[in-house]
Amino acid sequence: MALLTFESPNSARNIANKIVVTDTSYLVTLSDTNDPYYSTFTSFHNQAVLDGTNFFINVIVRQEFIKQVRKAQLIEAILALASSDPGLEARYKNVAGITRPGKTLTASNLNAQHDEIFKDHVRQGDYNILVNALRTGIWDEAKRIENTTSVNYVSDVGQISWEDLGALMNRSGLAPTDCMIANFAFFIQADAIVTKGGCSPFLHKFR
Amino acid sequence: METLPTTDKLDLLELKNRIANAEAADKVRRIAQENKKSRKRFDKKAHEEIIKNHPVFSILHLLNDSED
Repeated sequence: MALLTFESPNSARNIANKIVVTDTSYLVTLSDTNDPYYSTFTSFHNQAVLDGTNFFINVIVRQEFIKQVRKAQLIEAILALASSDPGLEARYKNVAGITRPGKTLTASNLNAQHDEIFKDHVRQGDYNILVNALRTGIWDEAKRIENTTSVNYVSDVGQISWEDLGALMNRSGLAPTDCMIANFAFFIQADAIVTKGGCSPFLHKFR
Repeated sequence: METLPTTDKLDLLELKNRIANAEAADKVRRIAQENKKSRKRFDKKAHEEIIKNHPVFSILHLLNDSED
């Protein structure tokens, strides 16, 4: 299996007419215009699709992508609620452990705290406030993004038993998600895995 | 119920995996053929319309999933 990166539009030619597997980081970068690599990524992706490259994802990548979008969605809603209600802002800061005067809530410092805030709403019985502030239909939008970017989702292939997954994790030292993606790529006999950070460490461990 | 000897079980598992592997690769190549026929493209304009209409996507790069 080839080791390829997205680093320049020219590298797209290396995967012309090939079957490649992408991971969550690829979809995330392709969907965020504020990502520093967004422009390079879209150029790469556009050229690759024009050259007949077929991008595939499996259930684990789709699930991880939706999870990331959900996190962004919750954080966006939390920030909007906090900016419109000083009482909620104080409550969120308290839950997030932000005690220093003048320190504000940001997307970055809510990265690890959004679920605690969600749970706090559940505990206080007012989670509808947060749920009603969610504005994006995650599932519909994720599917639309797969469609507009010509990323193909394949279900029910490359499934791996937990025993086999454990053996792969022990052998490679990789996280379960990465093992599942690599296994999927081998299972469908893909030519490469393309990720945000290239793919060499990912695949070398699997050889 | 009679159980198969271990070696036969392994042979069967290997055979099952090989068949499943070939079927998966075949399914993916069929999709690739369909894509070629339908001349699938990256619809950048439609894609950017989606992500710009939903500012939620604009903070994805700030988040990492290491905490999950």
